[in-house]
Amino acid sequence: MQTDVCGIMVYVGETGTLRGTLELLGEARILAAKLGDLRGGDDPGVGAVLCGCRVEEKARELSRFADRVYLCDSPLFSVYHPGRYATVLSSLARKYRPEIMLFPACRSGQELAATVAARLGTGLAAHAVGLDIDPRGRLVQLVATFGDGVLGEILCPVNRPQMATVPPGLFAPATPRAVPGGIVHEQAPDDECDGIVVTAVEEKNGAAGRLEDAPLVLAGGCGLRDEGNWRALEELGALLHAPVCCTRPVLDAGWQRDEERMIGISGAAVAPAVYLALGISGSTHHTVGMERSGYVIAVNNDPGAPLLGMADLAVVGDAAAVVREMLRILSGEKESRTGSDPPGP
Amino acid sequence: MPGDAPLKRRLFSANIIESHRRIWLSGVKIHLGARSVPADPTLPTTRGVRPILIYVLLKAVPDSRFGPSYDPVSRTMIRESSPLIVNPLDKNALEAALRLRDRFGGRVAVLSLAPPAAAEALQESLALGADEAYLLSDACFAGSDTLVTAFILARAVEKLGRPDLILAGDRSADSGTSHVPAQLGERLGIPHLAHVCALSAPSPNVLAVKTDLEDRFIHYRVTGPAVIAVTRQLNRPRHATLMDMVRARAKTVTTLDAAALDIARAGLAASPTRPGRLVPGGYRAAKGETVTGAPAEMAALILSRLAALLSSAKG
Ligand SMILES: Cc1cc2nc3c(=O)[nH]c(=O)nc-3n(C[C@H](O)[C@H](O)[C@H](O)COP(=O)(O)OP(=O)(O)OC[C@H]3O[C@@H](n4cnc5c(N)ncnc54)[C@H](O)[C@@H]3O)c2cc1C
Repeated sequence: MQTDVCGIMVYVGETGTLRGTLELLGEARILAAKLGDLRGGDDPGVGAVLCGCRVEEKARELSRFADRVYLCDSPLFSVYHPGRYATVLSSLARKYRPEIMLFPACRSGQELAATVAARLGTGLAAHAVGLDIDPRGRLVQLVATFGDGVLGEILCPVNRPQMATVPPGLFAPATPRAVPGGIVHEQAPDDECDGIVVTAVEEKNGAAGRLEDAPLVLAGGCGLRDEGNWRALEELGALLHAPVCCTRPVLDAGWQRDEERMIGISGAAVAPAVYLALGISGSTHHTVGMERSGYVIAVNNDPGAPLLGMADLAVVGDAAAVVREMLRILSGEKESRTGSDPPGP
Repeated sequence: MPGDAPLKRRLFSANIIESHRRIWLSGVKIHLGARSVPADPTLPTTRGVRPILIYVLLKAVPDSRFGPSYDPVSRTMIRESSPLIVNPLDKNALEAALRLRDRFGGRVAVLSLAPPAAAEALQESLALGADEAYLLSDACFAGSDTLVTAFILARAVEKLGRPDLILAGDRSADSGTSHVPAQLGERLGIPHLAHVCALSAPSPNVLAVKTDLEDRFIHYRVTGPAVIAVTRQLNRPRHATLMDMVRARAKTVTTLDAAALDIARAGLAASPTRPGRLVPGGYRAAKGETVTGAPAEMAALILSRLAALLSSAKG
């Protein structure tokens, strides 16, 4: 691998879990190997871009998973500033001329990818749920289409780099290299003023547990019929310590107000041990975000609903009634645990 | 809040702006002074300040309440069956724009790059209180990716006049790329911020905004003009009444085509990205058991299954 170019450049999100980053690096490694095979063994290499303040340690950790880590370590990067981060990324792209550039599809990743693509005048695919290299060495990105049951390929035939944002939870994480890759220290850009100044940072309290780490995810759809039933599902989620996710119409109806909790092609992808779906039809727009779950339980009153066909346990019945019964059983249990029932055997 | 102002006053305000707008459109240039807009008594007035101009980017999207209009036999989307509505988050952007206009005086112009069918959604934005609506529509725009969409929008902004602020929804409900606001900002060479969940404006050109990232909020001070993409937490959008709808019929949606915008190349041909083949989305194989029964029974079954699965997942 040459050192003055980088075939596949991966932006390591300024936040987010190591796991998401490793998934991106893992997928990038597979793509680099495919390109290498097409070119008689000339592997174009994977570089990870890390911006931050005092992140040497993280850079060393990353170097176990990438051929090179481009490290931009400066107090300028102690807080996320989109303009400044985009400046680093676009100047690294001009310097190392990657063929492919991947970003995590988190909020800052999306914003940065769009900005960098505009600066470089190249194409960007959003929320790629699959990536591949075609026989001509071009990146093929799989994204949602209007049609249910089908995904669409997106190519960027002429302009470079070919860019995509990739949601977490879809790819296998990278495995450590035998020898760590090199760390390249990059110059921080001048602090040009683009009219945006950070005035404060507020950590979200409670950090309600990361969606991707939850062993059980509850998800509700239109089949819950009304907001009252949705609240009951949220209550159930609280009792089971499980995040409550939704389909798009539920978000649009305003039952669920947290965008991060919509599962599917334009939302989050999860792979919990158990996915419990209530009143969800199972359009592919939704199922690409949950089909890697370990065990799927679906409740739907239509025996023909596609999600029942995908489920390990398919319950034909009324979703709201099942939710309320589960609540009743659980609150009964709670009472008996705290109540005067005789101790168990 | 202007959004909660008595309906009558809102209509009144819309009327005044409308009548001035017509004069303006018929060629006589008049300025919409701050005084032509009734002040909201709950907010500090800023008389004598230059009227502001805010653009709101609007996308018409299929109404998701109509479910997946998908024909499983032909494996194609039946688009006609889903009516087009205003992208939900764009209503939050419009609401913010209307409140700023009502406070500082000026006008709100809605821009939408879309086929003619989107005119209905633009009409709705007029009913909600927008002063002007522009449909950027031309056969040669079809298939534009986000980069080219941003280019066309930027051209419209340059033609119609530099604004004080551009507001947009953070993501569209259909394709949801979230790319356009940032790319428009880049194209215009002005600052841009996405995921904005709170916004206050000490003056029309200085905004204090709060962005919502997954694990924290970041507060920024932005010197405009800027492009700000907003989330649904920003505000509660007003609803248009039937009367608003009827009155808005007097306002027109202006269509600007490629010639009007001086655009020679757009659409698929000018876009760096190209759609390829359609491939089946991988359905998970069915391997399950199907059960049915009384809700209480089903609930107990699910809970016992959960207990078994989750304890084995832990162990
Ligand atoms: C480009 C694009 C992107 C999209 N992205 C996403 C995405 O990321 N995520 C997403 O979720 N959607 C997305 N959608 C929308 C998606 O196509 C579906 O419309 C949506 O997933 C359906 O949600 P639903 O299952 O809640 O509703 P519906 O499809 O309306 O299904 C409701 C289900 O509830 C069942 N039901 C009804 N009554 C009861 C009852 N009493 N008890 C039990 N069951 C009942 C019905 O049988 C039905 O199966 C997207 C659409 C497009 C066009």
